Amino acid sequence: MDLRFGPDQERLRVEARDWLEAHVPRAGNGGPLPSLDTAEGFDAHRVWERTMFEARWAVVSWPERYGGRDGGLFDWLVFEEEYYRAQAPTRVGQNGIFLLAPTLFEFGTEEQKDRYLPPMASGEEIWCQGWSEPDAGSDLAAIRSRADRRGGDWVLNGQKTWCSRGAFADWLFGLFRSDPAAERHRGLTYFLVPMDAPGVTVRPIAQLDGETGFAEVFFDDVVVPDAQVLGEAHRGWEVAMATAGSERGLSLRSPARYTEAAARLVALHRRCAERHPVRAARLADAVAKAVVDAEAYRYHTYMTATRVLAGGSVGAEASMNKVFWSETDLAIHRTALELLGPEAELLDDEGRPPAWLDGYLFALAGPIYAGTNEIQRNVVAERVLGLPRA
Amino acid sequence: MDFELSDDERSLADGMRRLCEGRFPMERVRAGEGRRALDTEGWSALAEAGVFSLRLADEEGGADLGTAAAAVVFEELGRALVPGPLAATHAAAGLVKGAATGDRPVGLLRRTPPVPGDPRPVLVGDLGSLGALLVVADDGVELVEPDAVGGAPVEGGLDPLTPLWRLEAVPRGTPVGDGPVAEALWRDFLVVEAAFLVGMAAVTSEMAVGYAKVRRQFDRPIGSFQAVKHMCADMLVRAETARAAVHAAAVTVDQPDVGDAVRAAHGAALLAAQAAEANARACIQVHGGMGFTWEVPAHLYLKRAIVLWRALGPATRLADVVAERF
Repeated sequence: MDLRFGPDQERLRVEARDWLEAHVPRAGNGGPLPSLDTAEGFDAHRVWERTMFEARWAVVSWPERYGGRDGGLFDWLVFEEEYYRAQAPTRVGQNGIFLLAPTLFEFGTEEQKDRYLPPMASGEEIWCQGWSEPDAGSDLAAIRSRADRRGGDWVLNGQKTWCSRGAFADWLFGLFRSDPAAERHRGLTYFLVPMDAPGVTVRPIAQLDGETGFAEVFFDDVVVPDAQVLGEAHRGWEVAMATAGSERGLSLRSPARYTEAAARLVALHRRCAERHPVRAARLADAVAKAVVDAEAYRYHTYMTATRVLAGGSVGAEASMNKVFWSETDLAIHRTALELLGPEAELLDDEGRPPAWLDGYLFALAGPIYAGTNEIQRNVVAERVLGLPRA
Repeated sequence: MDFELSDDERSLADGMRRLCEGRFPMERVRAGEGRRALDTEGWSALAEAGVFSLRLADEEGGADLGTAAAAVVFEELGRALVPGPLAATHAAAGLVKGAATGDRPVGLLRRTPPVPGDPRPVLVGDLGSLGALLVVADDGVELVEPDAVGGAPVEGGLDPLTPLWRLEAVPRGTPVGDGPVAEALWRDFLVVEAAFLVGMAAVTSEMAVGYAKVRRQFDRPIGSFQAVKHMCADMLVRAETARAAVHAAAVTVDQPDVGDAVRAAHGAALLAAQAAEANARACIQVHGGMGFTWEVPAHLYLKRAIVLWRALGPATRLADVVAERF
């Protein structure tokens, strides 16, 4: 075992740190950006994606021809560590970059990769995910939105829901039932759909945090050509599961997000100790546990990345990661609220919404999105531990 | 960056597992229940295999291996629930003459500042078999000859495989190391003991899963019920994340430029102790009524987890060191 990064990664780290230091929007320098779940904030975040793309930081692990740096998994992890350390903006393009792109690399044709990857990397085209439906959440294979053959094209009808960024996204990647007669996992096809296509209607949904970050999307005779099918027709389930592996496992939630939050929690704990020593003493264990868990997740990710680079796959073990990061995130934010006491509910010193409270509310979504933690535990039990299906 | 066991580390683990299966099958380990003396034959076998000396240089009789290798070895010992002051003797191998060869089993105590009104009894395991007791404080290490300790045997302690002695106070001894030596000794002790605890957490997870596959109720294996599945999944998550933390701490001891090894050791110990205890409890729960019997060894893993955790120092101290050094 060796925990040292190579010289290339250390160089990349320094370069990224310097660039982020100079460019991350901060107070007095155009930042912090307004919430990306508003029209204004969405645009501001899109501009930030463009800034990163022009400096070739948007997609370090992609091939150069699509705007990347040909980096490996560890280059990406190093960049992520620096990105969160710099407290840089949330990636408005993350659904495309982290969830769709790995699938495009695996299943896309050359034409599709050339067409979709560069504007995805530059923020020119932001993607949302169209998987869940009102009657198909955890039971994803129960989806009923249809894709019918008409002439040489496909015609989409139905409804998708919980589409994060759906209110402002330019494209949607989604699953539709293309063969109603086939067994339910088989007759599905994976489509790439422009949100401005005739017949697409978007209705934003208010979330419990007051934002309208996700949306429901209605399809009413939306015509899509074969060129916008990802992978083979009727094989969409396999294509989708490849994306789910990246989402839960490695690429959606890099450990840096949690080690950075843990560092902020320790700083908060120190401030709390000065003003409220009794409260701080009572919560010292919880703070340390959050730090230890966040670091353990980082090391577990290094382990997984080593396995992937040696030719292994993330597979069902991704479910284990998902349970761990989502619950660690909640614990970090819950502890912060306790440290803050009543202050947690007030605007901060600079008149901004209370960040820890916001973070806490968002963390509540963690055990739900990307497959609920209940489903993840089933996956771990059945596919990793070999326990029998119900 | 290569955070997976190397081929050498893997074959070391395999070798250690075979040794444990041969020398320390559960019935042999359990034959020592309630006994107050170490199984010297088993202890010598471990010494011969290099369990205590493996990190020493060749010329000192060691195998010149790193802490990562030691962690791999101790995880196997923990799986087998091998009794005795293994981690302390291993950590003291370079400091106490006779520790590396197993001739002098070593105990380890931490001197913490006295808390008024809280005269915690001081407990030491295996005192009757020790060749030396090391007392670790922030500013140094002292060696106490076991005869000079004067402890009283504790009857009916929690773990039937860990005989305890009760001391009136932490004894004074001869200085054998300064502050940095004390820090390194305690750090290494925490790392290998944490590895032992990870082994325990892994085994109880496997025991629970194995039972859930064969025990049938309502005409099906209980492992097909979600409530049981989720307990088992959580056990795996706890063992795997603790293992990542322990391996990282061990590698950080070997490669000090990658992080703060003292912080990593304390964090790993906290996570591993929690995993060992929580998994042993879950193992009992999955076994239902059988889990509450003396026959099923789940309780031995729980009892050892509690006894070892106490000896690592209070959870608050582990947590404090992590937070202070962040």
